[in-house]
Amino acid sequence: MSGQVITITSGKGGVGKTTTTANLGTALAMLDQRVAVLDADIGLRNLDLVLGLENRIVYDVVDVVEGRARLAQALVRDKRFPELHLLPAAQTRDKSAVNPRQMAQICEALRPRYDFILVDSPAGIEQGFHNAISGADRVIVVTTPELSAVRDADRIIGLLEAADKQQPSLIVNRIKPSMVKRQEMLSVEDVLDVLAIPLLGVIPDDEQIIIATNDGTPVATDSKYLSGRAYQNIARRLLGEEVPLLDLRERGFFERIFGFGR
Amino acid sequence: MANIEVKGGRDGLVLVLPETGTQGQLLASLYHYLSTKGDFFKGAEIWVEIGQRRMAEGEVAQLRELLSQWDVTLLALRTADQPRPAPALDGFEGGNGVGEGGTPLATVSAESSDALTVRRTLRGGQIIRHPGSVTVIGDVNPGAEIVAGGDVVVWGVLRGVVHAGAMGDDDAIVCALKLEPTQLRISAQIAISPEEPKAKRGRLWQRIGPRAPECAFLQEGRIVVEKWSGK
Repeated sequence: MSGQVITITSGKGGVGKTTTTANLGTALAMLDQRVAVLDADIGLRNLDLVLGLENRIVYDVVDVVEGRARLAQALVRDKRFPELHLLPAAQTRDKSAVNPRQMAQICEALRPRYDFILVDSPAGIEQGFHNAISGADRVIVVTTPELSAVRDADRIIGLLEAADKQQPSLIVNRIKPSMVKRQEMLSVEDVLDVLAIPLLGVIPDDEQIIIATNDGTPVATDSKYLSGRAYQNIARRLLGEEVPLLDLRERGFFERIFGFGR
Repeated sequence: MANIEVKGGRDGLVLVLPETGTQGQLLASLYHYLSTKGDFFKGAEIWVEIGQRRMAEGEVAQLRELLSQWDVTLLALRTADQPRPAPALDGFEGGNGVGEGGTPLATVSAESSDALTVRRTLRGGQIIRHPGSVTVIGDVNPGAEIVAGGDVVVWGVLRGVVHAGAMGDDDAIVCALKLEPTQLRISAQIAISPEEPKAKRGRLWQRIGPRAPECAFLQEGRIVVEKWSGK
């Protein structure tokens, strides 16, 4: 059986592509999947940090493309889940160090050995983006409930259509239910109203994600956190399970004290 | 003097120039033609069809120079024996009615046809430019743009920028199931949607239940929006 290549992209920077890639990779590995996560953000590598693997890198994707290392040498095994491997980006150089054809070849070479290959796309619509989607079977678009992020996601969806990719699915990141309730933030429905693509999941805004990122331990490892559970659910949806969306409503004071409503 | 005409082709706008006459006549009539077409060509990327005419390199440069005065980019010349030559520009990424990578955004049933039907949602960054009327079956999202010589009808939500009657047709109209454009232009007039009430700021678009389809047109030089009554 050969693995599925999924690219995570957004257009706008800072909406949570890398966090999403790290957490979905981790959550899939927790479900006994063999996973490779590939950092396509050459020159600005980050995925290693979020996974806490920065000190284990010897070779990177540019070394593989330019023949200084074999693919297997460059892959870094995760410290928690042995079936989760990272192919790091180069920290020197830039996006032009790799072309879309080479990126697709790397994805093909990984395919027989993994169930999932997750590609973390850089922000933007230039070569880095085209590199990242070149080998993809499916694409996940990440957005936040902000006008600018939604508009960029819309542009990206248009570009994916032009590149003849299958219809992408959507993750809405950093939802604050209380702000949505006060109509101060776009709701998931507002976002879907414009983008009109299938919803894969909703991640609540959670301070724990910042702590987890600094610590190099993805939140998906801990079901105690709502955001961690949301990522675990998305991983199960990627495996074809039907998992209802989490109830993200923040419980009020009394509910917290007395455990009302739950 | 032979006629100049514009056609909406599968890959975007095609300007058809007369096959006969001197270069001087050609440039003069093109100058005249462009000055009568309002903002229609502003920012456009076009193909130019010259049939049997032969143009030297310097003459092509003159043509490109003239077009650039209207902010028009020459993509390529098409001659009778070579209807689809290599693009005149390197790195052409499409623009008018052409999706990135050269995928046509829309299909024209016949090149002579006046109306263009787009059966998809136009997303941010996508532009449709057509000399006739344009019908979109789908939404027009923010950041998308339609420039039409005739009417624009959107069977969906219109949130982008739309310009009907862009060649100076004051009778052109814009209709949409939900008319919420970023900016609406008819002929030489420009209107923007009224500001949302303060309580609704921060919301993407006001959702006030089912709304009737609306139609915009010019009345005494101003853009008027009316509920569609089907009269």
